Amino acid sequence: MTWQILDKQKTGFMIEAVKTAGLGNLFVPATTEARMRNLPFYRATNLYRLTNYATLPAFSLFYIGDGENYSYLNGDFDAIKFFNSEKNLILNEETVLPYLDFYLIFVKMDVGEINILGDRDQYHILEEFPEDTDVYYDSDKSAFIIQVPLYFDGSIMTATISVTKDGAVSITDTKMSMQGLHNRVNQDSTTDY
Amino acid sequence: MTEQPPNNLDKKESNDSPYSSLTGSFGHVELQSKEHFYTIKDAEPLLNKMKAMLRESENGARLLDLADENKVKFHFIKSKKLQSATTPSLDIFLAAEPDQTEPYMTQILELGGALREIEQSLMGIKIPPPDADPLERANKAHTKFLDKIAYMCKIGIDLENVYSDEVKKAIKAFGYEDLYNVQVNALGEEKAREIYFKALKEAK
Repeated sequence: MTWQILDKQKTGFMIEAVKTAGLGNLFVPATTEARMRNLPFYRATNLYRLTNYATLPAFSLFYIGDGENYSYLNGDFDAIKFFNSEKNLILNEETVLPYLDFYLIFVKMDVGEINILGDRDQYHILEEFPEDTDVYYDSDKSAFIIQVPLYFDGSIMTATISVTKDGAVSITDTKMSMQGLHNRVNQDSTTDY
Repeated sequence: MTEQPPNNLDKKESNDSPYSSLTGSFGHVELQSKEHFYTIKDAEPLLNKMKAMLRESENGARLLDLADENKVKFHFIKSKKLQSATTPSLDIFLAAEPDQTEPYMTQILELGGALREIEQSLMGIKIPPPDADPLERANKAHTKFLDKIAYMCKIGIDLENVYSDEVKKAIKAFGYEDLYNVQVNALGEEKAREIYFKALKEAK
């Protein structure tokens, strides 16, 4: 999935559209870049990044939107829930994983920072999902159930996560990943004593 | 004290639904009723705690006094990512978690860095506009950034007596350990530049 740099005109429109009382002149067209990438789990909603290059390091804010209306990803689920209509959100066994990654990046979880294991791009988005990931749809719960290895609280865990059709995410179980522990022991065992 | 937002209060981000059928319990009416989509409500206590901690540093206190004299305005933006930005109109934007009540040491150093950026701006040290000579622009930008990091490290050194490991962890989280040691051991600006540009090269 690649990012597309918006031209000056579209960047200007976006700055105007997201400029609220709280933002003032944080983003001005001359020193701001806007980028966009598609999200496989939305029909008509993309991910946007506004970056102010006049400050160092560069200052970025992320939004989702349709090119005219934008929602700032402020860490609350509300910002995403707004776009999770039945007509717009496409959740299936393929798209639910990128959705989960997106959710964990942009929504603050009550339990703290959680990340699916794997290499990430410069925007912190997962490039490839772990092989030992299991996804199925539980019709009784009307939710996708995902078992996936992740980092949580400095440890590698295997979590069972539920994603409902409207995009609500809840972690139903976590356990220490023996495979992760095994790999760590093997790496540490190279030390000579 | 957190200042009132700098521009037109009536100009809100459009949260109109792009889908006419998108209503229900989370329809756009509910979103529009949110007072501040970006800013943290009741951020003043958090800002005061941050300022009080920063004031325990001699360098930090000087920068805070400078901010007071120049009526610098502070704004918090809800974000999971630690970052800050300053504007020519002397605004400082700081990131904080939506429900955060206690400051992190990384935020104290970030605030110190942002205040130094304000001081740079007051001294006329600015990143040239995008259409300026690219080499001159890059040189000024890196010089400015390195100076900001140096100040964050100086503030860290001041605060180490009080907060010890917390400061070291914060410096490590920023990845500034080598530059911090330059300041601790007074190895000079040349050494700092050498480390900075080496790190920059390795990052590419």
